[in-house]
Amino acid sequence: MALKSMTLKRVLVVDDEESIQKVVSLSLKMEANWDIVTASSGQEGIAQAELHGPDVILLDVMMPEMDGIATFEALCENPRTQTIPVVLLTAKTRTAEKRLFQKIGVAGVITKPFNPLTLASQIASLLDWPL
Amino acid sequence: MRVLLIDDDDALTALLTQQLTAQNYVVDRVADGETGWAYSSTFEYDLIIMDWMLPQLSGIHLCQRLREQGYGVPVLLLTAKDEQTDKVRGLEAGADDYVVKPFDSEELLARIRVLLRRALTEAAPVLTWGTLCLDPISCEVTYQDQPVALTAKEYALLALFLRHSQQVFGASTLLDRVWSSEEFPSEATVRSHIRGLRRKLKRAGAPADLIETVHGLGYRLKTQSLPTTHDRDLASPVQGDRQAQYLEGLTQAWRAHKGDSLERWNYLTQAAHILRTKGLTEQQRTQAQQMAHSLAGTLGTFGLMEGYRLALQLEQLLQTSALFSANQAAQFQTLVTTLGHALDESPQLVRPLEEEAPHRPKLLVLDVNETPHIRQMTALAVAQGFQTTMAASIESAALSLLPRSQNDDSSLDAPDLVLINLVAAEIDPLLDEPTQHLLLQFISQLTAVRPQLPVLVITPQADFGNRLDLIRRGGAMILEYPIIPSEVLEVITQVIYPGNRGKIMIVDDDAHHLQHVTQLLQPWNFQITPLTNPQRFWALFNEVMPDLLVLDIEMPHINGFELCQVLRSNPQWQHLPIIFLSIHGDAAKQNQAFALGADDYITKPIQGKSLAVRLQNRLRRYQACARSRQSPKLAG
Repeated sequence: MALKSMTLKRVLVVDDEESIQKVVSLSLKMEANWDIVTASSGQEGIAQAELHGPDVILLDVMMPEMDGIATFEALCENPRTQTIPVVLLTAKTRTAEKRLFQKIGVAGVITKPFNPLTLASQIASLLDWPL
Repeated sequence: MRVLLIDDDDALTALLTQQLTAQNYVVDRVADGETGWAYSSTFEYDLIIMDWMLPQLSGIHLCQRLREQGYGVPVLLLTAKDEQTDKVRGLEAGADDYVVKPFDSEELLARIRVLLRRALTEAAPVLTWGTLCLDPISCEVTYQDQPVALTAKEYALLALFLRHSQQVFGASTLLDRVWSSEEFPSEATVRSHIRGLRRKLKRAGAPADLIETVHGLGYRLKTQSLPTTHDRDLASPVQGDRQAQYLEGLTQAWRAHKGDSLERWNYLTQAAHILRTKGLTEQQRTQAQQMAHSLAGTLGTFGLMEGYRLALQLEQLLQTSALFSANQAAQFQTLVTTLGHALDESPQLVRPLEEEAPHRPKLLVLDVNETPHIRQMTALAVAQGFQTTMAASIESAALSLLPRSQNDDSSLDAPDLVLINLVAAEIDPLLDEPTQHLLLQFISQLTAVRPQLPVLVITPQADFGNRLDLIRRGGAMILEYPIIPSEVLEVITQVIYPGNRGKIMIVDDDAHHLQHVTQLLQPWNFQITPLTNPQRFWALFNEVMPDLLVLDIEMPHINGFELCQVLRSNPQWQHLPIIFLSIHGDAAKQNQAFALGADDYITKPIQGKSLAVRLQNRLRRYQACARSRQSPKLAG
């Protein structure tokens, strides 16, 4: 796959909290000027992923109704979204959980609170994108 | 506006809280005077409403204590007493207003508004320095009309510099003025906060040296003309601009969404109330846990790190406990209250891990009867930042403290201190024989396995024989019940940080020797003020107000004996420990020193450790005496 430049990335942020969507968008815009699409629930996230075909999906783990794991599984079963890498965003910090998340096939896990000045770099390094 | 309501009448406080909350006041409720004191001395309030008749410490006494300790917060006394003499007593004790029960809610709210307005108009006006402004009422700082988001400590430092714009502040003075006695910062902490403050001011466009270092003396505001565009460009590198831009966006987003976090916090407040009365259902517990989890995520993302840590602790408590003990319910309540205060902080950039929170001492409390005095003490400890674990049985304490196998490395996670309560109940404090025996056995076992771990014991039987027995079993400190919770915490702090923060002034005209002594004492973390010129003694002494004085004897102009005599001739300095450090080992000089009021006489050359231990012992006793002089009822 040809490596895209940092400025061309499109990121889908799925979090039920609007405030977190804003902060994540703010950091990614500021650091890498990426294009941001947001969704407030798992269902909306799947729909937006189908519509925009983002380069990566940042997915909150704890959401009401359809949580991050269920959303991830649905994305994997959907032929239009199954190749999009998913990075989980979670406030949980236990190592056991982190291992479990990695085992199900996500591209990476970023723990909240993240460093806003290096969030884009963290994602880029998880996905092996050039900086 | 934040209000502390202290009343043991549940129905009345529920109603009042509802009315005050409807008027947008944030209300903390506590039911007794001692907890009221703990809260009012730990948190900032705009108003305190208290009942006259309170358990443990009456409203009048609490009010007096607040005023004696310099707290100027407006106080409104609520009471059923309506004699003229009572009103006079209340107002003389320091209350600002007095409302007799039963009262009309509208009138009470009107009086509250009047008190708050009065307090605001009496507050200091906006402080300025060029285009830098600090508004003490809104707590906002701006540079060239642009908001500068500061942490509480940075704000306090800046306010101090602006209030005394001509003064140079040494690190130890800043420690005294800006940090509370419950915190344990070092001078490095001051430097790091000054750096943080400079960085933020610079990011806002201010000159990098607006707060300048005066070599060897400290820090002050720099007098200078306003920065030119060129200066400003130099002071704002790209990284700084990006951070400022991000911080501005963060602050806006927080303003727009703070309500969501407050709603979650409100849910946790309700959960804390339910916990105290009947206990949570499984559904309520899960929901509260989710609320705490989401709060942690949000607060961490916005850089409200104190709130983040508290929300994580709440989540953890809800995770581990299906059934809450009375102590855990109290701990939950305190965490929620403290979290409410943390929500008032401003957003900031998430700090890298190495700059994470300062060391928070860990306590393990073994209280088999879950007594109210331990519950209050724990609540206070949590509010003051201790990480507290409760053990309601010897087995659970043993599980965390005694190694399970030879290779057990649980000592890595060991607490800094263990508190063991040998009090059965408030009315009948004596434990039954078998329980007492098991607890004593546990103390022996614990101190044999962990000789370095300080064990503090509270007991109703503190006569000589029992004290001796406990000391032989390895107890480090024995406290006699009854004892008020804040005093237990003071002792805990003393044991964990012996001699720490003690202010020592050393006067010696030999600069080389002075430097040598200061270096020798460095590992003990005292706050040392060295002085080579005895002619500057009085000015510096009054500024530093040391807890201990070390004097050389032979010095030009004024010798050490004369300095000692001047101090001892003043009744205020009768108790101050004075130690002579001299090359003269002859008995005549030593006798003369003791006759003039010296407490100790050390002959040079000195050894670091022995000197430190002698100073530490003196300091500890002096600080304990100072405390009992301040609160004579505790001494009896």
